Amino acid sequence: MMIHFSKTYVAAALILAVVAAVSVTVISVAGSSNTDEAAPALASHSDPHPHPHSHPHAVGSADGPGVDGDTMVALNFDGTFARSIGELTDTADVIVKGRVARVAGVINTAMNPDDPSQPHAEVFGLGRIYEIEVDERFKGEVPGRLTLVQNEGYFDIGELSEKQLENPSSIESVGNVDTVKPGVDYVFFLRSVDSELARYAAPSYPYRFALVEGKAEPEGNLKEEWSAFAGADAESLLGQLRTLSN
Amino acid sequence: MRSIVLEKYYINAPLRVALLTLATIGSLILLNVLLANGSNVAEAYVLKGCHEADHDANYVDVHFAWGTNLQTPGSAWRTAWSTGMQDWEDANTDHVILFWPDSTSAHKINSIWDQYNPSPGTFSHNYFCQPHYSSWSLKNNTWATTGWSANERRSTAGHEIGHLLGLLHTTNNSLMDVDRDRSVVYVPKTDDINGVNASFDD
Repeated sequence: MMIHFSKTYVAAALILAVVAAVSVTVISVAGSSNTDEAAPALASHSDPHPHPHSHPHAVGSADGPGVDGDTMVALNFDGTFARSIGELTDTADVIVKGRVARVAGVINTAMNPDDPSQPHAEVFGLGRIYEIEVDERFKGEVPGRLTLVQNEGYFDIGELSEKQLENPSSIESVGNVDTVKPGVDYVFFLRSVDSELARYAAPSYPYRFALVEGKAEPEGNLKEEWSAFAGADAESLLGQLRTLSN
Repeated sequence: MRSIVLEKYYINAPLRVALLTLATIGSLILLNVLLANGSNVAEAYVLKGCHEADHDANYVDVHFAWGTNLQTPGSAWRTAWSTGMQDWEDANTDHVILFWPDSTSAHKINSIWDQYNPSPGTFSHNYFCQPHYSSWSLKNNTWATTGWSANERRSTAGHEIGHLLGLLHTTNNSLMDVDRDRSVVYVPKTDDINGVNASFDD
């Protein structure tokens, strides 16, 4: 079988193929570098690092790197990420549907590890207090209102102003933490911290789902870890939890 | 000369060009996807796009101050952090990584007790960090690690240091995998080292 290819046709096909190959290769190389952004070239050090590689953290050094005064505004954690509703259900003492009735201020959650009854001398743990009005219970015995404390960042006390220390509610949450929004219905998976005060916290992340436009959107710290829960159907989640409670 | 096929299903020249071009592009894209998937297996690390600021072509120098609850050499968490640092120093990274205690440094490594945060370790940093962390701190949470072994603490310390060096979480049982068995995985693995090499390849 023979097909007659004109010279123009062959040339056009070859050019287009080469252009496509080059374009795809360029896209491929850019995409496979596994970096979010290209980094600018660093100013080279004048000191060629004469120090030996011999347990330097056992000795002192006076030249600390410069700090530009930026506040700590993002977190990364080790562990405590749930990968399924089943896993979340297992780790939660209480599962409820409800909404924020009131944002009731802030407590310092960072305590002295040598005496946990005392606040930490150097670290302020931003624990925002939310009063949750409970609509529906799926797991655990809880009152009509409970208190949720969400960790929304850690700050060096020396970096906070006097004004912030006097009124910690004015301290802004770190950049990659979602605050709990008033007016939104949520399903909360919670861990009991203080039964007398009906105070609860996250057992893992994500630990709540915003019920918005028929979807159950995961929320909490470190949203980049939530892909397993993306796009869940709200009614399906509620149905699953109602089955659990029966 | 015209083939039998072309006589039966006549396709004019412009359409033939378009079809051939589409087929070529499609094949190249398919080939690229296959190659890319292959490379992802080897490069499972995920980069933040930010890392410790103080480095040049050969060295990464991490200056830090011990926090108030980590002042005692030999204490459990101080040992965990020191061992975690040593593990990264001993890792066969392209850059030599060195940790320098410096009481004047604003970069603190601290120990806290926080029952409202279930995480055993935290790395805090300035949000708009690319390409360098100008502010950072590392913390362990003793509330979440009651009863942990030395290797589990060491694993969390090394993991948090991995964040400082530019790594995000993985799912491949490396040090940066949040689901790893900390009693078994407590030193940087090949993928972690590859990730740090890529992180500082700027």
